Amino acid sequence: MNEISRRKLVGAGAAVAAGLGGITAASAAGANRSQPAVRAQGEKEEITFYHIWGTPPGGTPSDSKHPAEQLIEAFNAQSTTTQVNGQTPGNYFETLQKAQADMAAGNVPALVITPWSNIHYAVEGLGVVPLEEVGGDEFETVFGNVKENVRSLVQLDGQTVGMPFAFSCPIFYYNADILAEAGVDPDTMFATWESLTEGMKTVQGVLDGNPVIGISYNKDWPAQTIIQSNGGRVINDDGEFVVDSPESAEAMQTIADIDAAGLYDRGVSAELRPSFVGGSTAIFVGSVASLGGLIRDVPFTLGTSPFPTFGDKPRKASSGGSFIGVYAREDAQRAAAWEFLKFALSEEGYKIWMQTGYLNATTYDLPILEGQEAAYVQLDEGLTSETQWPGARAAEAQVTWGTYVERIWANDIGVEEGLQEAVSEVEAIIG
Amino acid sequence: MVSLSRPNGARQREGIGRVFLHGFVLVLCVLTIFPFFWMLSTSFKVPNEVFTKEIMWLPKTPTLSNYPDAFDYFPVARWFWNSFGIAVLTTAGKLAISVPAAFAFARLSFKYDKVLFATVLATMIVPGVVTVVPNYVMVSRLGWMGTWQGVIIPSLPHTAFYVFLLRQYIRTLPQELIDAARVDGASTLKMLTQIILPNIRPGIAVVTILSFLSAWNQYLWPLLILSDFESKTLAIGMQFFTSNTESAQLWGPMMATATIAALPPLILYALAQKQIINTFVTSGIKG
Amino acid sequence: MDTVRKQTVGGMSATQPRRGFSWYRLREQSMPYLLVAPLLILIGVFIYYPLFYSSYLSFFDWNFVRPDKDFVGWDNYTRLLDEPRFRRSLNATWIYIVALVPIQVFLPLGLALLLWPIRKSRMQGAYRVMLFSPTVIAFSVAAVMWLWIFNPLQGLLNHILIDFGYSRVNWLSDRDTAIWCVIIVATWKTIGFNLLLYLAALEAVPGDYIEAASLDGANHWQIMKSIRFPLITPTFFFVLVTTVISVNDDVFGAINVLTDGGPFESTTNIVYYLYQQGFRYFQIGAASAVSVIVFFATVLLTWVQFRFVEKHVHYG
Repeated sequence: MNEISRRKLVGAGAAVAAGLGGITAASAAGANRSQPAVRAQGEKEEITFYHIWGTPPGGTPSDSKHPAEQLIEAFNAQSTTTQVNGQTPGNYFETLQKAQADMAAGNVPALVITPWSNIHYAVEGLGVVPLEEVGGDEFETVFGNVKENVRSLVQLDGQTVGMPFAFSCPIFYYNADILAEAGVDPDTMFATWESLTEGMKTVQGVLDGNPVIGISYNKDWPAQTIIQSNGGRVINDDGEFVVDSPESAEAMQTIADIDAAGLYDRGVSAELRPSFVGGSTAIFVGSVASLGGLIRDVPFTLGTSPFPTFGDKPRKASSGGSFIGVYAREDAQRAAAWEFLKFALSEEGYKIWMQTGYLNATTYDLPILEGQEAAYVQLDEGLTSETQWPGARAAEAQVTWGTYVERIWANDIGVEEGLQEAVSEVEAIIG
Repeated sequence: MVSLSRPNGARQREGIGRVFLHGFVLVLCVLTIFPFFWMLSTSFKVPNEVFTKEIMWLPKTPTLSNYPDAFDYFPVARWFWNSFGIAVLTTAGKLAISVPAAFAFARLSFKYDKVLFATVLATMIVPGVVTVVPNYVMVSRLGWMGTWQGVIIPSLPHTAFYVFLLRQYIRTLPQELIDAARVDGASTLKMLTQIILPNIRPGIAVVTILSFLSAWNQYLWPLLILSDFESKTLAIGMQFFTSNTESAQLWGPMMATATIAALPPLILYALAQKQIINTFVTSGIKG
Repeated sequence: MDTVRKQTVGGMSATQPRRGFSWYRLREQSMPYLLVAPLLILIGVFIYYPLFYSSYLSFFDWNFVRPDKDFVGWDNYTRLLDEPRFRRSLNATWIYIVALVPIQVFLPLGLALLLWPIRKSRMQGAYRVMLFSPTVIAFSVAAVMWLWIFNPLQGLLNHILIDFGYSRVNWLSDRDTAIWCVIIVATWKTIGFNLLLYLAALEAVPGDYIEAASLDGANHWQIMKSIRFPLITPTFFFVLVTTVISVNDDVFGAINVLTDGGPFESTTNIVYYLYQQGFRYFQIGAASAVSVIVFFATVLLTWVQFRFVEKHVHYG
């Protein structure tokens, strides 16, 4: 018995020692990752860039590395002063969460991808550094390459909050084969919301009674385009939440009617895309950034179209996506961050990025993906900024509104009632 | 089993009853493991066979490529290692603090022993979620964000059930064993290591396995602490195959990863099942 | 029943002479405390201290990043009570408790009773592995399997419904059915563990009681009723208390993967609400306030069970 237990103890001790060793090693590795190390003179300044693209996109021509990672690699290869360490904590929420956690712990990441809708929070809550400060004299020349109508989207109170990077807008995707089978002409069908509704009824005949259209993910985003295209606003220039206007109500009613006609896919986000890809629905409203992935996934002919209009009213799509914000607090870090931004905004750098479905925010003449024309139509018409939710509880307000959009569209609540409740709840949150 | 004499008819009815019972249980089992079958089947499907209008039970063009592909898309090997390492260390840690304490509460009498045991048991009333926010803040302050110790150490104290179980188990050991040791002049420590430990191996085995399982499958806490891609565990990393809304959804590789994630716990449990039940039987919840 | 005699520390052993002071005595007397110390320290630091810290944080407005916190007194609490989304989460919380507790307490008991008469069969081990298998895997793995079953257009359930002539149901996006889907997945996932406890409890009934009863002429059913049942009531009570405590925690994994709190936040319970407040919106103060509320509610519920149910428990 003695022998056994002695061996046991030794074994246990070894395990604990190994464990401690493992913990130390892992934590050393972990620590190295989350701390941007300041190197000695002559060595590269290392900065951290939190982004959301550490996953493979669909349809990338050659490498399986996402263009964001390719961009970082290309930059590191050509830079003598700076080393960028790109990390992907997860989706936008998780990335912001990690960035905040690190800031609280004192390890401030130099660059963080920040959604457009969080622009206020970035400034007030997180202390993002205006690019005029970061770039100094070089700012004007470098930023001159950004399209005029895009520059205003990243500005708040006259200061440029970040570099437009993931720049997208919502568009309509459709299953060209099914539409052809139903004998519907896409150009006619997608012209106005009226013709769309009519066309969808015809298409439904081919789909065995399935719903025809799925509007994806954070529904408050396409809702903004729809409301604006009818002349309404979500947040007006005074920062007030004004979705209860007649124009907005009319726009929201259009979708609610589509649902009442059985044409609207009420599925949860995770189900909408597979339903479209699997051929159960025929129309999918999503970000132009999904284009690459969809091209790769769909077994049918994919078509794209800008949003339909409300009669003669002008289309007013919103932009979406995110910008790169500089959050570094030390001068050396900021300078290094600026080096990366310069490269990203150069023709060479931006070309790498354009392999995604995101839109070209620069003035460079770069090739676009097939199918993106629809998005550029909307871009040229003038995209509005994505709703900039004010206040410390911006994210919560956005989700609250998004929930009401879902409910109204699925006829879980009447349009009038829904909009009024939404206004009272959101106003309570943004104060 | 005491055998009573019964008329033949009753025995026949009993036979039919047993068949029914077996049948019913079998149906239940099939229903229970059916999702696993789907997971396994999908892990061998090519992308356009995953979601089809008609149900495809078995892949028409089965492929093995999802498995190696999964490792290419994401650091699945790293994730496996993280899950494994965290589970092993958590288990070792829980054992290290629970076994001695269980022994003390079971066999030693000391001032405040009842009160202290009550405070240990009382932790079972605290739902995990209640401590999440403060622990998160503390872990951040300690600089343990994104590290194994940040995940492991705050989860160690959630072991009241195991302490309880081990204590019960130790109490079932014959008193003579203890007395003999005392007579031989054994110190308390020696008693723990040389007498108790070898005799509660089944109990330790059970705690090891249950604790390993729960650490392997942990979701919320590692989700909050491990944000670096490379440092995630299988349980939380898996969703990335299909969660990126802007790129391809990789169901096949995700199911392959899910299968890989499910195998160790299943195998471990199958091997240890008898032990677990025996231990619960011996040291069950008898108050 | 066991008669356990506790061994006194520093107990006199025939070979150890009594001395005024000895390191050995000191070590022996402090040994129990040394043995329980690591456990108690960790419990103190990571369970009890957080309870107080939560209460402290609940009186502040803090987003975790800013170095300063703003004291707001009871504002977080009053805000919660006013907020419709919090009140709606209470609704879901209540539904989970009322549905899941009976299911997770009685269903495994029923299963255990079903398995009992055939417990000697060779299939026993296989049955148990199969029925326990959902418990053994991760929640994310489980949820992913069920996502396919619930898919409204291409999933298994709807395929079956259509084959039988019914129309589709939007399982995860209809507010009436979504919460039941979460409940089903959570049940499927957690039944195995309680089943195991019950089976063990049934087996643990001392053989002598059974023998004595059969000799007295009792049949299986009577034995079950008057001996086994009462003797497994401690296990039953344990299962009841622990299920009530953990049920809202357990469904977190299922909610997160299946519905993310939807549709229209109808599956969001108080735990999920806490997670969103704390880790999506960075409202640390509000999240802490919710933690405190959850804690006191749990303590209250547990006390209620001890007060009203425990007296029916037979301790061997």
